[in-house]
Amino acid sequence: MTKSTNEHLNIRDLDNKAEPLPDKHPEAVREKAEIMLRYSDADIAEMSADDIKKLLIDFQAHQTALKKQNEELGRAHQKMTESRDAYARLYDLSPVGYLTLNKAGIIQKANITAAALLGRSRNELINKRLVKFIHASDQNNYELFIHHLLAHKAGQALNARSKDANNDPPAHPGCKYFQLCTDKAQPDDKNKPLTIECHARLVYNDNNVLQICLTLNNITERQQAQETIAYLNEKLEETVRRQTTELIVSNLSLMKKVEELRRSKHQLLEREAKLNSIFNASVEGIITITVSNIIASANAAVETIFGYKPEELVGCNINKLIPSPPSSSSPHAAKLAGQIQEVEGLHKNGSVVPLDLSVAEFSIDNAHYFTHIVRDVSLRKHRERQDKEHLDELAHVTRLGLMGEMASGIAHEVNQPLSAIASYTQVSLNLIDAETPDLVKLTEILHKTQQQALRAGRIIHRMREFVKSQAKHRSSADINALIHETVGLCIADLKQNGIRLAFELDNNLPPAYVDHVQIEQVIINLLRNSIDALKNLPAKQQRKISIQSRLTLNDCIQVRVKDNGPGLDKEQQQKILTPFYTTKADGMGMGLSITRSLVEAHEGTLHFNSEPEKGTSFYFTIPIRRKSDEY
Amino acid sequence: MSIDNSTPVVYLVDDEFAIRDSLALLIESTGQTVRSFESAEEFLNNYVPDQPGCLLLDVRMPLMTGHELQAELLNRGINIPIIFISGHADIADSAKAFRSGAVDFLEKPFDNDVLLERISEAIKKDIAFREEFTKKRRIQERIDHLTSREKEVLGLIVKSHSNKESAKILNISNRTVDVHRASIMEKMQAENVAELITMVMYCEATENLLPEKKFH
Repeated sequence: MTKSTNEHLNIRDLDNKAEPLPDKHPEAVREKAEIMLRYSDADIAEMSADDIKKLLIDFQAHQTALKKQNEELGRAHQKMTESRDAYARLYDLSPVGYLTLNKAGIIQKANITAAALLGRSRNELINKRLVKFIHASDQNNYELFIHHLLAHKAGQALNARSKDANNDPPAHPGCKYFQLCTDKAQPDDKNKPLTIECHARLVYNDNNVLQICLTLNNITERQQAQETIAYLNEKLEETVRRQTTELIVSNLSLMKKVEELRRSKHQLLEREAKLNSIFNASVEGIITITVSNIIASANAAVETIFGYKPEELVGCNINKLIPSPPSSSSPHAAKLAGQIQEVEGLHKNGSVVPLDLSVAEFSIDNAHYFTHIVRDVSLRKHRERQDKEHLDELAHVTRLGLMGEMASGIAHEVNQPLSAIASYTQVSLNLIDAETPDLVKLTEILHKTQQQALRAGRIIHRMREFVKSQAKHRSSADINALIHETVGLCIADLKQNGIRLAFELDNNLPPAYVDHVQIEQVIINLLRNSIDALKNLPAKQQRKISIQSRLTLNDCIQVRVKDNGPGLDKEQQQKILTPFYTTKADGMGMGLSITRSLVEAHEGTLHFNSEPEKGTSFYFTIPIRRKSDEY
Repeated sequence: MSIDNSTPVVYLVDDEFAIRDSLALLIESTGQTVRSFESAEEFLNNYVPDQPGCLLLDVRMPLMTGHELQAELLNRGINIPIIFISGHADIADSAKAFRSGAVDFLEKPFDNDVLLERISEAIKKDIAFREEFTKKRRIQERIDHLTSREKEVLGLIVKSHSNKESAKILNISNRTVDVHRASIMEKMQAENVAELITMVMYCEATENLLPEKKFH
């Protein structure tokens, strides 16, 4: 059979098409001819004419049959040529590229589309290895693909084909994508490598040689579209992911908020329980009143303090309990909030209860309430009174001790006027004894005598006042006068120790409201401390004490006793005000401690500052009491 | 007031005006001269040592105390008899005063008669002391006129050494001792050896004359 070099691909189809035309005739004719020949071979010359005639007729019939056969063959050939051309057109102009490779991957045949895809003419492709036209990055893939293909040849190839129809085409080993070489691919396509979808199939040709048939599809655009889709997909996924993350985060924070709310609710409950327990168990009376002073609630402690049951009180005016309460509605009620005031409460049985009162304001739904917290301070008042009495007693005892220590000095002070009196009276007697007594002089001397007697009396009086356990009441006093009185009791000590005393007194001090004797005791203690400190100075050094009085900026009277003694070291400064601490060999260590207690009993404070080698100054301040403050 | 060297003066130092005033009146009423001072310093600045007298001194005074003044007077070689007057006489105070040579220690208020008596005693004492002092000074002046060899001989005489012994101690001849001795008797205006010894002992000058120290 004749065949074109281009036709080998579908050679079997062509055979099938050609077969029905000869209709088994040639072989039958041949057989007949051979049989006839065998017969004739025996002896053609011996043949009868009939036989020859018969043979001739056979030959002639046979010739006619052959002619007819030949005509048919010509028609068949023409049909075949037409079909072949149609096929060739189909092959060449197919939008799919066809390549036929041999086992070694060398191109044997290519259609126009394949050549166009590879960017070469068909002639340039023949006998070249296909791998050359594949992009470097895909060459390995290609080799692997071909290798796999060859490995699954024979029966498997058929299976694979059937699988092809059912399965995912890209997953099939017979299908692969490759990128073609950039430079060799269409150069006008912006150097973008073409992506080819390649289907392969193993075929044995007429000569029973294994060939690889490849179909090539340009899927560049499809892939680009896929890439775009993939990109968009990715973007979408990312967006989704991001939104998911955001959702998770917001979910978490919501959960946290829920947790917080739960906790704060728990805390609220806990606090309420706590407050309730405090409210009920409190020793202090807690009374809530409205703006119009009507009692809204009261706790159990109120009964202990006032004698009324809480339910008796609700609805009553607060003045039933506290006759002169701080008026809650007044604007300064807010100012009172947080401060503790001392007020008098009225017990059910009519007795007066001293109270500490603090007021807090709160409002619910625009309604204002005041919480009065009251504490029964009768016990404390009682203790304070006792403390004061103790202090007074202690002060008295220490005053007696002080007087004991000061007795000799005071005796000296009294002796001076007594001594002068003795001399004056002697002189007077002498004058009277004279023949003509000088009465003028006598009068003068008697007057002097009287002055001295009065002076002695004053000292004794001062001392007695100081020592006596007097009724403890305070009265207004001129601090400077107190200072002078006090110094009068110490003059002897000052003199004996050669101390120069200076006064720096503010003459415009308002009167202070004090216990005279106790303040004198304070000043004496401070003076004696300074005197004792100065005793340690070397004899050559001038010993000085100054007493100052002044009004401080915050309306206190300050009295300062300052010496130029050796001062106190750090340790002494720390301990000097504590009881029983003393720097003196025979001291009790009570002086300054008592002094401080006395000052503090006057709502004052005692301070000191001291510099070693320079001296010490002790000072105390006591507030000025206004008339309205007195009680 | 006119002061001549023979009129005794009662000095009064007390910081207390009433004491100064009353005591001055009292003492003056006995016809004595009183000079009173408010402080020890004032006294030191105004004291005239020429006159006999005594000092009434308060113990406790600001600045310089009585004891300090007493020490200062001793320091300056002023030997005025001191009567301390104190409003508060403790034993320590008075002992201190007496140790430093006070003649008396009176506690206020004092008996005026006793005070006046003590004052006149003190003045007498001062006068006697001054006389003695003058006498001593006169003897001392005579001793000062002796030569150093004569002083040595005099020292030996006071120690009751005989001429012979003296000559031996001083490693000189008996004759020379005789000559010195005669010269000493003349210069010292002594009638006899007994008087000479009394004189020397009186002014306590023996210390300066002990020649033995050199040899022993």
